[in-house]
Amino acid sequence: MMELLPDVLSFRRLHQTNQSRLLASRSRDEFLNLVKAHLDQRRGLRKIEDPFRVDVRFHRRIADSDSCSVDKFDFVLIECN
Amino acid sequence: MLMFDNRLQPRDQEVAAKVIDGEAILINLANGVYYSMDKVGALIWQMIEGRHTLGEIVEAVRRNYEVSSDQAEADVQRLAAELLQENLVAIFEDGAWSRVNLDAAPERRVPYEAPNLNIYRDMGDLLALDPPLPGLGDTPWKDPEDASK
Repeated sequence: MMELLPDVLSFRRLHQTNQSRLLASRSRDEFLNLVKAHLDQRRGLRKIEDPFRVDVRFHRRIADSDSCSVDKFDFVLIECN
Repeated sequence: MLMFDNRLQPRDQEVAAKVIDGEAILINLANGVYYSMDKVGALIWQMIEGRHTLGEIVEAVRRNYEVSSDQAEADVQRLAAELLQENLVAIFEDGAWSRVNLDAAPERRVPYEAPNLNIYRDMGDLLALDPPLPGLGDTPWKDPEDASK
């Protein structure tokens, strides 16, 4: 017999490197900025078609053939708009 | 009923809040519900953070916007009651507070829009999934073994 619990149970695991514990105030700030961006986007004030900008540097093709090519990216910077 | 000499204070432990581009954004970290208040609402929120009385807030609204005292009083009372109802603020009993300087009168009053507390419950589950822990500040790790020594 299987019964579903009425509530979702969740646990937090506190450990040495919890970012939400070590950087609690920064985490709050980030959430607020995210919510603001979300609201602006919903109102059409901000376009987030491509929320990430990928800046590829030192791009080098290391293998090439008729069917495929392999590229090596030594350094990739990803930045939120 | 809130009186005009009441002061409110944000419930900092459970509520994250910030004014960004003239809009107050608030998140109730306990349930993931988030809120926004534009223009007049943002001014009111900043004054609440400065622990001003509701009477002082009404006066600031009246001085900054083209609005009658009656209208400003009614709107500040209504918004304060909504903030209390949503558990975003509590009545401030005593203690120190920093005041927002409102002595300088604005050059001209700007058109008034009644302040609204916009409530968004659409991302409650998402924001409650891993929000900043309510009531927790930056806490350095203390090794349990060291603590027992």
